[in-house]
Amino acid sequence: MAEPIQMDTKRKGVDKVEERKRITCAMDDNDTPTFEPDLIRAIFKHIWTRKAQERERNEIQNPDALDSEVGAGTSKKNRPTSANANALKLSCELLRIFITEAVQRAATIAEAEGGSKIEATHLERILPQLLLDF
Amino acid sequence: MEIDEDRSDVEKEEEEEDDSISDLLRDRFRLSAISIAEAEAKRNGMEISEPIVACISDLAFKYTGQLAKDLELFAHHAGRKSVNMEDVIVSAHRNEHLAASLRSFRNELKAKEPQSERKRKKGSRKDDKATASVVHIPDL
Repeated sequence: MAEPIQMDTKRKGVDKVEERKRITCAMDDNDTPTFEPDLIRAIFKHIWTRKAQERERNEIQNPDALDSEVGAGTSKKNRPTSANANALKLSCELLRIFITEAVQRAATIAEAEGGSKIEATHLERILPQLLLDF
Repeated sequence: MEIDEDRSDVEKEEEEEDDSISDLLRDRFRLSAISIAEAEAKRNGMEISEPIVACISDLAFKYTGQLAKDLELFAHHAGRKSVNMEDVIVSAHRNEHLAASLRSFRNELKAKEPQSERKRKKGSRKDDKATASVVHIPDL
């Protein structure tokens, strides 16, 4: 796994980090950080184009009777999926909630144990239910 | 034989490019995830260690991948090429609080767009009623 982002743990470079966050992170009406719809769209698009390419490859290898009438590789049939703007905003919200829930549930466990820092063991304990809920 | 080798070279190149795009997206995603996670930890009066945030971020990134596949399937199942809000809400079906939360968010989005409400004839009256009755955002 790639190393975590170089964040200065002694908080010297906190200004630089804050600036980077301001540039890359969207805020909603209540000043809560959330995901940029453009980023989520880019991620979705990356996956959907790959799927469309796979479908096209499979069509070439296993041509259906219908395809030979229409012609191989017609963009009409195999356009990659897209998402409308509101769906992207909703997806950003869903992903934001995913992270928020993970942190909040782990924080509850950490708090119950009397600690002030969320650690791996806390995350471990909430993970099964988190994955079942999403 | 030669054709197959060429194709696998092209595929290999595509795969490498794919991976580097994926890494770039994952890094951008992580920056936002860090912001969100730290804000939430602060809200709970807790500190959260870096590796944990990175872990949550990578998990969320993988979840995003799953979400993309699910959304495509739902839209396709409904005979559409384009994912809409209903698809996103359906994908949250496993937890009712989550689905309700998303429905509220959707209603807020719709409320902010008076023009499209006027244009949309089908079901717009139903949606107006729904907006009126959803007053609170349920606790998750």
